[in-house]
Amino acid sequence: MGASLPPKEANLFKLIVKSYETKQYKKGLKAADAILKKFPDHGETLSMKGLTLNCMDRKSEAYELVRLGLKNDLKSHVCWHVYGLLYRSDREYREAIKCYRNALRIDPDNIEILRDLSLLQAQMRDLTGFVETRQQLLTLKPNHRMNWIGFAVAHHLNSNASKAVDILEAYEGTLEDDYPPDNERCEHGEMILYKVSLLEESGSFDRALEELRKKESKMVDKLAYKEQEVSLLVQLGRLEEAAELYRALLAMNPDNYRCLGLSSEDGHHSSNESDELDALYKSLAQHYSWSSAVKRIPLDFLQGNKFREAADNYVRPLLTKGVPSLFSDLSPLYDHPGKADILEQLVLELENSIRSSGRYPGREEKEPPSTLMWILFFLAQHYDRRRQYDLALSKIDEAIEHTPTVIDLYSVKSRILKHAGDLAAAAALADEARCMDLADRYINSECVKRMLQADQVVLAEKTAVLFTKDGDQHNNLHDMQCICYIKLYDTPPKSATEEDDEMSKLLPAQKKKLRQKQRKLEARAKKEAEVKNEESNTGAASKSGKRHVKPVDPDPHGEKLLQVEDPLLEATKYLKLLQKHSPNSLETHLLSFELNMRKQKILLALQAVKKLLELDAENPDTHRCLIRFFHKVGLMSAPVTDTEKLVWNVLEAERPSIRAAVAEMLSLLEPDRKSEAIKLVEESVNNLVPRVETEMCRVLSLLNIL
Amino acid sequence: MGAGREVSISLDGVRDKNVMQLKKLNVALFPVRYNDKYYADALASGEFTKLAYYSDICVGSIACRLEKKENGAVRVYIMTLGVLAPYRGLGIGTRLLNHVLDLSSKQNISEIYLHVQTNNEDAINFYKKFGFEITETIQNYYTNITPPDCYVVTKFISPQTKK
Repeated sequence: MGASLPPKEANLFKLIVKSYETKQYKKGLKAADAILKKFPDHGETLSMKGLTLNCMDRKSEAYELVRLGLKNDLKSHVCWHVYGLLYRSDREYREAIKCYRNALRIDPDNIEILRDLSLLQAQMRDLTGFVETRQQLLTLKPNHRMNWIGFAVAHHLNSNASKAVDILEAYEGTLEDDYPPDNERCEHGEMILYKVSLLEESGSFDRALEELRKKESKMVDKLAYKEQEVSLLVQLGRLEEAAELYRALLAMNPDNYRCLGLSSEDGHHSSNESDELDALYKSLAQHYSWSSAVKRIPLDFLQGNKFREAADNYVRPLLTKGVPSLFSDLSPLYDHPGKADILEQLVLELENSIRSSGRYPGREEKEPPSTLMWILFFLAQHYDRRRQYDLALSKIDEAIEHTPTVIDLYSVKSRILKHAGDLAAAAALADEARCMDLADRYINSECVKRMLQADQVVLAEKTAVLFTKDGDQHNNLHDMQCICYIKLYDTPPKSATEEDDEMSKLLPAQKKKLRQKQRKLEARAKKEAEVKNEESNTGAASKSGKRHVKPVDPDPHGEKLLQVEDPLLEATKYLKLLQKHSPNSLETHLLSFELNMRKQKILLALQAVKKLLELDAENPDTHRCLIRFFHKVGLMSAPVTDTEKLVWNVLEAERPSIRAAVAEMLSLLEPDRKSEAIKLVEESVNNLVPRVETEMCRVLSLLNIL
Repeated sequence: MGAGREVSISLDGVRDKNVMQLKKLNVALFPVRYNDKYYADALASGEFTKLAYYSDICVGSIACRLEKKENGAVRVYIMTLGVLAPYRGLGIGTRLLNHVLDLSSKQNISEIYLHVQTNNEDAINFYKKFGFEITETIQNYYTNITPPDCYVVTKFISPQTKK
């Protein structure tokens, strides 16, 4: 580097590089200018000056200088590397990779560039390339453990776990017997655990167990060792040994869900099994009286009175202590039939007892004053979950009046208001919560979310920026992984009138499509954010990106999408993505319905309606689709072609299942055909499953009232 | 009062980041809406303004203003002292007042005073327990509440003898 310069300038050049690495940009800039005074065309210096300016927020100058530097010295790997770094800083990873490759053509064994390249390959999921680069690094520096593991991880990511095992074993072959020295025992142990997990992943349970036990003495993390061992024993079907080990693990930590939870994972048990489990947990509870896990897990499988008793014992001390997360802890139980009712009764009884005597039923001890507030807090969330928003609000308001200083109360009230549909009030409440602890990032983010939901974009940005450093909002928002919002709101909204102008140029139909596109884009952005999260979670073994940053959506308002020639076709593509990745989202099927109605694909629209009914039959949008569907079918002329006949047959066959809904709509929309509707329902009441039958009865009674 | 369980009570200072807690308490406790100067004074008094936490829930506060007398000595004016209704009788008010009394005596502050509405017997008795006495009556001190008169209630601390 800086080879073509005389000694004094060469030293100055080293100083630029060092200043860049230690972030002393001003110093680096000075040194660069000193060289350029004598050698104004020196390519590498120009490049480094550009890179330095890039860090000082002078981007356009940076690109100019780096490109000029490269032009003056096309044969310099430094110039190419710098160009790559510049692109990388702007998240132009593909361009950056090209630059690195050019640099490596000039200096094929440059470790730093190889390492930078490998990171970007992992980032871009160019896994084959990633494997190659890691191999090259290993060949160059085979005495570094990091390079062995890097190569193994590369193969692992490239779905070749057994190859990864081979590499790690080859590495172990290079080690002395007394390896590792004391200061590296921990890392070595982790490597062995990694290898064992690879063996497990590739299905070699026997070998994994053998390897694990052989290396026991080298293992530092004894808990991880035992957990891995027990998991292998279970997979090998050696259940008695596993059970023994589980008990040992429980003695170490009685709140370890991985040990306790196993038995109840499958959820459904015969009453016989659940009695056995009950007995088991009772004996465990005696052993580990301080474990909350042994008290919580039985609530998953107990039923009826036994559930009631166990739940009562479980919630009382937690309400006394004031555990704000109690409701989310119990909320999975709301999916079990009947348990929500029992919980409601139970907590209402506690509430009454505290109100009248200050004590729990059957207790001598007086409860602290905060117990009532926590009970109200719980009930508010309970009613919110059951969509009884009036009750939820009255409970939370009472709690706030009782103790107006508890922030969680305001957060929950905000959530209730959101569920009830008052987004602006929800945002205001979230802001109130935020003001009560300005140092809490979670509450801040929660508030930003509510503001965005209420379409208060400017306010939301201002609030989000409170937690970014140096007022450098954009980069920091990226770093804080607010991906979803950035993508949606990155281009600051133009003034409302400007936007309206653009909108007013469009035909109504076009406008509608544009809005649709926007909604689709939003959904897609959310999906992508989810996938992202998943990836960064599952890719724990990946050393690849410390951060997963997504480039900003170049078309946030869908202007480009609007130019598409056949919008319905384009929309179909997005819809397929949604159906693949979000099959359980109501939104997906609402969009599918819209699209297929427009495309006159009656059966696909029916499919969407059925999905909607399955996911949330109570949802107003579901009903809207249903009405529109029947309206459409009602207007269809008698079938002529074979295809049309086929469609009719399917519709006829599907009819009874949604007949009640038809009748309900019919009577609402055309009251004079009420008798027809009643007939429709009565005809189909026979031969129905009970749930549908009750639904029918509900509709029937409704019809009779009308 | 015998809440049969041990519940910890702790004090914490008031800062920019949590001053809203004090505001929430005051709205619930007092009929008066305090102005910005009140909060500025409270923040400026440092350790003399405290929030009380009952098992991590903020339930009470004492807010003071430090005043310079003509002779240069400092005296403490207790602007507000209050505990949320459900949490009274648990010794939280006593804990807050004792904190300020101890702190004053450590800093050789000899005078602590406050205003009490003349009909507020509970408060007057409360302060008397701590050695406060009525030193003055001001007619028409309050504008919006009856009776409009207040007492000035003062405690003088004799200077600490150096050990």
